[in-house]
Amino acid sequence: MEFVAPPVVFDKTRASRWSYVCHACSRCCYGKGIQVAPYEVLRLARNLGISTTDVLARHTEGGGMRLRLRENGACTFLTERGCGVHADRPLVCRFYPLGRQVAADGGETFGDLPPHPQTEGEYGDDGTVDDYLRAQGVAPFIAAGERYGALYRRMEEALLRRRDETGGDIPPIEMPVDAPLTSWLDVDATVAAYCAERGLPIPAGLDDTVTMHIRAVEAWLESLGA
Amino acid sequence: MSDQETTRRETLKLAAAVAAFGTALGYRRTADAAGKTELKTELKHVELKLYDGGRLVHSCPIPQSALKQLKAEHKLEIKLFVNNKAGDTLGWDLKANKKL
Repeated sequence: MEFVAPPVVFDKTRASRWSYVCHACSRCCYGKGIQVAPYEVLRLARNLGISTTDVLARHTEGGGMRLRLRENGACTFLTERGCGVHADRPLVCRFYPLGRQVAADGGETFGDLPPHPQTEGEYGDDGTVDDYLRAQGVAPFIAAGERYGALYRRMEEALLRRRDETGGDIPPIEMPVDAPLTSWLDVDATVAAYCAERGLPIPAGLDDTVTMHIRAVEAWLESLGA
Repeated sequence: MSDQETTRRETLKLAAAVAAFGTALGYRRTADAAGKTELKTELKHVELKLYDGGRLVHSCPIPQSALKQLKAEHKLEIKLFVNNKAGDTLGWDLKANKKL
């Protein structure tokens, strides 16, 4: 499956006047690419009472980085009563119908995604983008994204250093469309292996699990001399 | 395995992990390493459209399972079934761009 980013003008800030009332028509739950980062997979796993390994295997595609779509284009979690994992839905579903862009300096902007022609959602200016984001509960997702973002930059620096050291004898870094899942994205499996090796108890809370996951990946980077 | 092979193997694993984390977190290219985009993307799809003259009578998406197999040299065949028995066939040769 091929997904493309819709045309979006990122012309809003958190202070911009903007509001949206969702009437749960579910039209935005069809034919969409829903990217999922490790924290989101972890939230989905806890919601469903299964491991992140199972979420990745049963509910994702594209190498574990995107939610699976059914044959009719519906999101894997869509039910007759709407989203089946609403309390733990991914970040891009919380932003919708907005998209978020984060610049190199960390500054964020938001833009309207093209609405479904028959959407029942109501657009207005009764509030601000920030009001909407607060109501959608995006804060823990953004916080986790920043923590993983710092880890990602460290990984990337390590790779670039290795490329320099090996005279460029590694493939260029390209974002995969349907790359095989790297096991490091599997939070529960990574944390379980890391804790077992060191005789540590497996953390129960979300934040502690994320901390342990990041620590496990960092330990791997250190073992590579990064 | 030589040290050189081990290093290369580790580096490839690292490259795969960087690509996977980058995609999952919304980083699109290495050039944008510090920036990212978070939004619902759109699935590209193909629709079957039925026209009566210039008027669109009906359209429906071709299932993704069929799209995965579709190539330019393939023939698209529209076959009428009645009571599970094949009847008339209407088709279009995509490559030759002509009616079969």
